[in-house]
Amino acid sequence: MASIFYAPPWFLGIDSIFELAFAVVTILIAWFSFRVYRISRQKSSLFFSYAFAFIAVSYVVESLIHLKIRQSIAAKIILMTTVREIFQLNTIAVLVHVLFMLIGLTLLVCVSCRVTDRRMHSLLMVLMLFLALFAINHLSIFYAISAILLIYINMHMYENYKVKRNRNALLTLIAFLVLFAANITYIFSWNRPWLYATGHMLELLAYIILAITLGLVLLKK
Amino acid sequence: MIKKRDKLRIIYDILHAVREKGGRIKPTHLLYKSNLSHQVLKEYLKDLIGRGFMEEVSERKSKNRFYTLTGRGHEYLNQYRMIKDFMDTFGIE
Repeated sequence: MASIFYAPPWFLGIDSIFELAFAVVTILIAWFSFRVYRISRQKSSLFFSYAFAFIAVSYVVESLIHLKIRQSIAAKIILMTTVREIFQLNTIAVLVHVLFMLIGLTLLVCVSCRVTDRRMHSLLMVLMLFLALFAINHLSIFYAISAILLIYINMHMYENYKVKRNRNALLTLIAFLVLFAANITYIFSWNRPWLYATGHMLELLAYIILAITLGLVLLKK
Repeated sequence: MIKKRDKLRIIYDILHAVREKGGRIKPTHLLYKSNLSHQVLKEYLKDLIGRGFMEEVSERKSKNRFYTLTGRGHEYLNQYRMIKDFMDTFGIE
């Protein structure tokens, strides 16, 4: 069974809004990257687009199901069937979020490490999914795996900044470092609900930085 | 020290060379303008034709070969700055 959600009561509902905001930014990045692929026909930008599309879907699903759970809890009369529904919904939310997020992050690692062989892509994804799905405590394992994947992504972003030495590359590096920090807080949030809220705020900061960076790329003439 | 060109830049330089010649260029002129070896240029041309950026045409009478820009090639040239910035920002190669 998936872990029970551990948001602090005051954060109920706000997390869904945050997750929708994350989805908007990741959809924008996915769309823009696909546009770059259409013009340049660079396969790497296509995979980059797929990566962010998967991440976007994971946030959308997580947001909608958390919203549904919050609505159920907010109802004045909570029956046992409702409680069972809440646990089932949470399990579905966790599994879909885990699946799509890991696929997205794995694709990002493949783009960063220039893995072009599709067999390697699928092998990495299957390994990640097995690790996540068959762990007893899904969420902590999932966030630990995400953090490891983000280490490799951050290494690539750092190398990119070292070569390019421009503002946009630096902003992107900072954003992914903040995302890594968010994942670390989630690992420890199973018995510290305030860390769940902290993680969301860090993620929001990361995606604001990414949105600003994307805006700077688009507006540059 | 001369900075090594990345792939996006080389593609831009090749397409730009064609555009500068009015959208049509002979292979020897392209070799000179692109500043690439014959073998490397040949590989790039195969790639660019495959991506739909350029076409190879032959004149009936003289049987001279030319390379021409397609609409997609023009679009790449026009959007090059945006493509380069995006890929540099996220380190996509």
